[in-house]
Amino acid sequence: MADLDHSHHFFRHIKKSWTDGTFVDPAAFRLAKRDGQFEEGLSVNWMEYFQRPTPQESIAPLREILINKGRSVGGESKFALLNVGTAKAAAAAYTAVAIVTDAEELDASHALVKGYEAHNDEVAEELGKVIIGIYPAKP
Amino acid sequence: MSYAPSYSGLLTEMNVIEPFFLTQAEAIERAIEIKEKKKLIARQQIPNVQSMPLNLSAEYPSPQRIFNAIQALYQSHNSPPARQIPDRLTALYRDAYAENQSIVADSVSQFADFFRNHRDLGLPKITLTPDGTLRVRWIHGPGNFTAIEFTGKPLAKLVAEIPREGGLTARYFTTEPIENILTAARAVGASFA
Repeated sequence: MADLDHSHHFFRHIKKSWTDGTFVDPAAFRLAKRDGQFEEGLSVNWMEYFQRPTPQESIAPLREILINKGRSVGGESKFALLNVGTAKAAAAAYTAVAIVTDAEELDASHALVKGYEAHNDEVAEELGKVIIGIYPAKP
Repeated sequence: MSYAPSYSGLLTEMNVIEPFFLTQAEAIERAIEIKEKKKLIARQQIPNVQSMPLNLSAEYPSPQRIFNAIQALYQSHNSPPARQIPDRLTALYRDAYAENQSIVADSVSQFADFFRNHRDLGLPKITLTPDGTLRVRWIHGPGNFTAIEFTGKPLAKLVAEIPREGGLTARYFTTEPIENILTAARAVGASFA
C-alpha cells in the first residue's frame, strides 16, 4: 500500500438511494461495519490510474471494472470525485486519515481511505463537504 | 386499533340469496346498493390514522412493515404538498430495491411515526445511509443544516451545523430519544423549515 499523492484524486461510488436530487448524503463516506467490525477502509478508486485527460473520461472504464468485480452499478448511481490533499485536510479536523492504494486482482485502481473508525460520522460529514465533482455512472 | 363496530349483520344481509324474478332495473339498483354499502363499510373500517399505532411489530416481515408505514404516511399526509414525504419514501424504497440496498424496517416505522406526529416541518432531503437507515436533512445554506437519522432504536442521531455570531459555526453530533429530538435540536438553534 502506498500513499496517494496529495495532488491526486479518488472516486467514491454513490448509490442512488444515498442521494436526493443533487444532494449526496455524507453518510456515503462512512466506514461500514460488518459483524461488529469496521471495514478496513472506505473503498474508493484512484482517478489518475486511468490516465485519462478528464475525470469524466475515467468513468466508463471505472464502471466496467466495478461490474467485472461483481458490483452493482445502477444507471442512476453516481461517482463523487474528491482531491486527496483536500480530503485529508478536511478529515484532519477530527483525525489523520491515510489514503492509500489497495490494488485488487480485478481492480488495480482500488484504494482505501483509512483510520477514522473513532470519528466515523464526523469524518464522513467532512468528506461530504469537499466533493469536487459528481458524475453519473452511465454517461 | 379501534375499528368500527362489527358489520357482520350487514354483510349477512348483503349475502342473502336474492329473490327470484328481479327485473333488470331492480337487479341493477340492487347491485348499486350493495356496492355503496361495501364502500361505506370500507370507509368506516379505516382507523383514525392520527391516533392509530402503526402495525409494524417485528412479527411482520420487513416489506409488509415498510408498506404499512408508507400507507400510514399517505393517510396522514394526504394534501398535495404533504404527499411529497410518502412519495419520496416510496421512490427511495424502489431505488433501494433496484440497487440491492437494504432498508431497516424499524427505521422506516420510526421515520413514519415522526412525520405523522410532526406535520408542520419543512420538506427535508431524504436519503438512506449505507447501513439502510433513513436520514433526513434540512439544509439552509453552507454550514447551516439539521440532520436526523432514524436508527430504529430508541436513540436517534442528530447532526447539526448552526451559524453563530462572528462567522463561527456550532457543530453538534449527538443522540437523543426520538421523542425529544426536536426540542433538543431547537434548544441549540436548529431549524426544520
